[in-house]
Order: sequence, then structure tokens, then C-alpha cells
Amino acid sequence: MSDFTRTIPQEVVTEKSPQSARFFPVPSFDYVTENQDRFNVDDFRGKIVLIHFWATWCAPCVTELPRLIRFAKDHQDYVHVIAVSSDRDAQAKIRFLKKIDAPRHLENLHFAHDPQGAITRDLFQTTYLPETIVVDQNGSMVDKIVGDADWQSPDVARRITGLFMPQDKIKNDKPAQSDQTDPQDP
Amino acid sequence: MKYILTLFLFLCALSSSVLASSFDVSTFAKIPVQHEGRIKPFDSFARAHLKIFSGKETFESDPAILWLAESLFDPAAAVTRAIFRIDNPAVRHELGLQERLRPLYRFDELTLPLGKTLDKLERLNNRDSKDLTQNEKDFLEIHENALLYTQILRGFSLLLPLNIQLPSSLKKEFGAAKNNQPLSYLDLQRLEPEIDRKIKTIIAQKGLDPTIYNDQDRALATLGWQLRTLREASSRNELVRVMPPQWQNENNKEWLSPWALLRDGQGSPQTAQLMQSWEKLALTWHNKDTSAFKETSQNILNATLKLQTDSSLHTRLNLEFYKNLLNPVSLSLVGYIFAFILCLLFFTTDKFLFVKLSYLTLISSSIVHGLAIALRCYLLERPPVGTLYESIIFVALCVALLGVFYHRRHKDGLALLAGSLGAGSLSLLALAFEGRGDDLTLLTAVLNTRFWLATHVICITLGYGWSVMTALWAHVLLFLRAVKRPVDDLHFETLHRLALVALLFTSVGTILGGIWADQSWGRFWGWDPKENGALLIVLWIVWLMHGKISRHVQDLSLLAGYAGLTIIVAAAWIGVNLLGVGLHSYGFIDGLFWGLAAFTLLQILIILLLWYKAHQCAKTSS
Repeated sequence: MSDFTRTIPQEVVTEKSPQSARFFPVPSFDYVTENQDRFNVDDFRGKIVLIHFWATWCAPCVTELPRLIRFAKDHQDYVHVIAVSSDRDAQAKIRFLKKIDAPRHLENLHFAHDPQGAITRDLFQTTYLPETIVVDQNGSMVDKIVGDADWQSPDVARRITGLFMPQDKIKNDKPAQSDQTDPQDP
Repeated sequence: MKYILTLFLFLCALSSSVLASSFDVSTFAKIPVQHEGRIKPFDSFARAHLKIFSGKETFESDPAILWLAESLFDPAAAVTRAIFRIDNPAVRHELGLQERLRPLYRFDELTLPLGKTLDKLERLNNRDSKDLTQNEKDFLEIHENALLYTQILRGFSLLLPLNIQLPSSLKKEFGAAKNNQPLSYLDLQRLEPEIDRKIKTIIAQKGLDPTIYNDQDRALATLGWQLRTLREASSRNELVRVMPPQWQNENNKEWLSPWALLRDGQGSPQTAQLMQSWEKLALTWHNKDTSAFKETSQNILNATLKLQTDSSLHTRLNLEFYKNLLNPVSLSLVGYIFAFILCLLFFTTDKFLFVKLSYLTLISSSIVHGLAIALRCYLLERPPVGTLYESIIFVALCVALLGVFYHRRHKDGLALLAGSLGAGSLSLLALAFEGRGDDLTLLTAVLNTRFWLATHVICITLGYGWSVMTALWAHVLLFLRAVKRPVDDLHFETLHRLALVALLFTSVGTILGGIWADQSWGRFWGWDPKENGALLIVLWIVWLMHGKISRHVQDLSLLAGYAGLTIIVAAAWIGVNLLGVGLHSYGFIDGLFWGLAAFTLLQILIILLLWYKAHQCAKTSS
């Protein structure tokens, strides 16, 4: 078997997959947090994992990150955020996090440092920041948000939290949600 | 533009300059690419483009796929191949090109003259295409072709090993693994933010004058400029779409070119692996490692198939690859010609063996032809007739099958003669209508409605087929009369049956067309040229039938009238495209007028001659 076929993970079709789409499991990778704790992305199976790529020199990233932190705070039960910084200078990242008063105690928010781009570029082929990859509770990469997202908007919240609910509940909830959010919509 | 191209070719000048025909490109040829709205093997992509540039599907004796591989992986060598055919002497003169026996030119000898005529290009682009002369259209075409080829040359420029020297301050970034290997833009891209930051620091400290920079600073500034130029020149390149979309939603089903994938942030762990394999493939070409090239091509093919959702794609790629290789329509054309020759041998020698052989040849050619059309339907996932080319090959098959069918009835070789002559002539005509690029084209206009393609269009085309066979049969009977050979009632009965079925299909097809027009355009009848053409065939047959029933038209005139159906069908089927008006997206064609006029004149002469001879014979015998 060639290198290529050995390293490409087998695809899975998740319960939430549209029929035309094919989702792949998130590749396993380790990262180290600011406290030097080592984690693996698979440690959070059962939760929705947001792998967020950012850097302090990226203007949209620095405006987006506080909103993402607030989103992580609001959805602690079922969302885990891994914010992977591409800064070469680790101090720049630390200074910025201090400046925005980023919480260090949240269990579902990890700040990883990736100065060589091993995770950002080599593994996920992220070329322009910011980007966020959404991994569902089964470990499948189901969505990618390119550019900065408004993490406080109901649409984004529904897009993420919708993944967590069982299929039948989503179906039952849909009309009610649309009525609530947009009463003028016929 | 010229400078960017020169820089790009210089950066890619690491590779050899020999079209490496020792490479086994059979697997590479099957790698899928999205082009003109469908997924096709690289082989079809290569043939279509080489045909656009040179008018042929091979480069000298090498297959188009080898030319494409070189263009993608070794652009510096590819630009020295003479692939651009410029037939128009006025355009050659305007571009100051050397006259040659075969007017084929290299890309590198076109870039300078094309660059000098950009002002004219802009002026012509601002004018309505209807107001352009043929010379101006040909001038625009060569500019468009050159631009298209530039896109191919730059398609994989981010993956190619570059002729770049890294400043020592950046060398450590790649560690030992990449130290002795040439780097690609994909490798270097990770350094862009760092390079930009360092250049900003240099500018802040030393200003914008590079003459006061030290060697390290100058190397860094040059590298930054080279990377930016490469990115800006190529990032809009969307031609070579080899990456299946990984983040699918309703609005995102298009495959992506490597550049577009990076530009639009559509990368994923899977595309990262695939891109690495493409990079490796470029390196194997550069290193002339033929076995690794084949193996890597296979890996890319497998991985690409895994990343897309169409389970039948592998089968379709294989079938299309072998269709390209065997070219069944051309094979059946050879069969029709053989069948016709065998038929002629039968009539000259009276040996029945020839008619048997002709019959078998016509049947086998029809089977090959039928399979080719069925394959087209499978590949395009639509009914068989959607373009003028497809209508011609469909009518050719119809005529061949009618020849086989009526030979079983008459067994005198006449139906074989008519069938093979008609099918062969139409298949030859189809070659002329294959046109530029890919003949497996998708339809985008109102015709792209499967129900109506399967009903109205098929009905009308069957009507053309029966009409052509009626006319050919009438020619044969008229010829028999002219040479005093017996024509019995069975022959006439066949003629009437053919005409009746032609009338049935054309009438029903015309009415169905009206219903479709009512649904699509809000009116049943609009005197559109195509509608008028179909009506003309109906009226012509009805007129002859009524003439026969009322005995106003005698046998010879009837035969001449039915023989003249070729002219009516040619006018209705192909001639209306000359008018350049109407709503039918059948393809308006320039430069066909004289061909059609010559055919019409020839037909009138033949029919008049046969009619006159037959008339003289009838007079003599009475």
C-alpha cells in the first residue's frame, strides 16, 4: 500500500450527512496548551469540537476571537474549542490573550500554539486565516467556516448546536425555530 | 504579462526539455478533472485542448495526454512545442510570423507579437462580435487560445519544483528533509507572512532603495517578490479542476483547481494529502522517474475517486478513456465504407458473397455505432441527441439500420447500397462537425430538458433519418430506371412506407416541438427557422403523397421529388443554422454556406440527370 492510501482515513457517512456529502473523520493530532498540558483531538469525542485557526497578525482573527470565546462560554456542555494560533512568536499570542482578557479556566476552551504550521497548514491545509473546522460528536468533520464568523448570531449557533441534537428532534424543532426566529416568514 | 510569464518560466526551468515519451501515462490519463460542467478523464481534457490549439488530437506522434503532462509539469519545455495552428495568412502577417509549410507556431514565439497587439485586442473585444470580419475573429481566437494555454501552463505552478535559492536565514525552516530537494510554492507559502514581516522591517530600517541592501536583504526581497508574483499571476487559475470539493453544500459542488482550493480556503486534511501526491507527481516527472510517475498517478486516481461521491465515476472514466482510444464512430465509418465497396463489387461482379459480406459489415458497423451512441448517453446522462454533431451520428445510425432492415426484405443489395452510402456520408459529415474541443458537450440552453430531448428531439431526428433513407432509396430507384433495370412494386412499396414513417415522425416531432415551445416560450408557433424547416419537410412529403394519390404526380416525378428530400432535409436540418437567428440552441455555424450550396447544386444536377435519362428510357421503351 502506498503512503497516500495508508494515511488517508476511511470516510464515514454520519447520521447528519446530506446524501450527496461524504464526511471524513478528523485526523488525530496532539496539541499542547499554555499550561503545557497535552491533549488529543479525540479526547473530546461526544462533543462538538471547533478547531479554530487564527494568528495575532491576522486582523479579522483578532476581532473574531473574543466572540468565539463568548460562544465557548455559552455552550460549555457540548462544545469544545481548540484555538490554534500560527504565531511564530509565542509571546505575541500570550500578550494578545492577556489583552483581551481571555479566560484560562474554561475546560472547553484550549489555546494551542502551532508555530511551524504542522497542524494549520500541513495537516488541515489552512492557507488563509481565520478558519474554523466543525467536528461533530462522532468525530466527523462536517463543516468549515472560512473567514470570520459572527459567533453570537442565532444562525451560527443553530448551525453548531443543530449538530448535537438527535435527527428526529431537529426535524421536530425546525418549524418551531423558524417561526420563532422569523415570524414574518410565511 | 510578458514579464510575469518570463519569470514563471524561469522559475520552472529546472526540468528537462525532452517530451518524455517513455512515461507510461495510461493511468495519468484516467485521473478525473472537471471541465465544461462534467467530470472527465484527463485524456479527454488533453485531447480537447490540443484540438483547440492545433486542430489535432495528437502532437506529432505523441498522444495529447503526454503533451498535457509536459505542459502541466514542465511548462518551460512545453512552450517550445509548435502547437498553435494559424491558418489565416492575414493573422500570421499581422503578428509578423514566419511563413511555414505547416502553419504551426510555438507559444514562446507568439508571446511577443501577441503582447504587441493587446491594444487591438482591447478594441476588438469592445465591439459587437457580429460586426467583426473573419480576419478579426481569427485574430481574437489566437489571443484566446494563448490565454487558455497560459492557464494550462500555470495550472499546477504551485506544485512545481522552483528554481529558487532560499536565503540562509530561511533554510532552517525546512530542516534536513527538504534541504536537498527543490521547493515548490506550496512549500514556500508557509513562509510568506514571515517574509513579509522581515521585508517590512528591512524597509522600515533601510528604505525602499534595494541598492543599499546587503545580500541577505536583497535575497529576501527578491524571494518575496517572486512568491507574490507567482501567486498573483496564478491564483485566479480555475481551469485544471482536479480537487473534489470537501466541504459540500448546495452551492458548492464544483471541483476546484489547486490554486482555487488555496485561494478559497477549501483545503482539508484529505486535499492536503492529495496535493502532496500531485507535488510528488510533478517531482517524478522532473526526475524522469517513470515507474514512480505511474505509481503516483495510480495513488492520485484512487485518492481522488475516494474523495468524491459518485460511485459510478470510475467506470465512466474507464469507458471514456477506451472510447477515446478506440473512437468507435470512426471505426463504424470505416465499416460503412467497406460495406459500400463490397456492395459495389456485388453489382459489378454479381457474386452473392459480396452482398453477404456487405450485410455483415453493415450490421457489425451499426452495432459499434449504436454502442458508441449508447456510451455517449451513459457518459452524458442524457438522451442521445442534443447537438448538431449528435444529430448527425444519430441519423447515420438510423440510415444504416434501415439499410439492414430493408435488405432482409429485398435481398438484392440495393438497401445495403443506400444504407452504407447514407451512413458513411453522414459519418464523414459528422467528422467535420466535431468542432473544437470536446465533442461530449453538455447543453445549457432550453434544450437541456431530458423529457423533451427524449421525445421531441428524438422524434424530429428519426424523421430526418427516415427522410434521408427515403431520398436515398428514391435515388436508387431513379438510377435503376435510368439504366433500364427493373423496378418492381415491392421497391415502390418500400419507398412509400419510408416516406410515410418519415412523415409520421416529422409531424409528431413538429407538434411536440410546438407544445414544448408553448411551455417554454409561451407560444405554440413562432415561425422560428427550425420550426419552419420541420414544417417544410412535412409539407414536401404531404405534397408528393397527395400528388400521387390524385395522380397529378407520375412515378418518375415522384421519385425525383422524394430524391429532392435530401435538399429539403439539408436546408431544414443544417441550413437554418446559417441564418444565425431563432431560439434553437442547435449551434449557428459560419462558413457553411458554400458547402451547402454546392451540395444543393450537385443534388439538383444528379436528380435532373437521372430523371432525364429515366425519362428518355421510358419514352424509348413505350
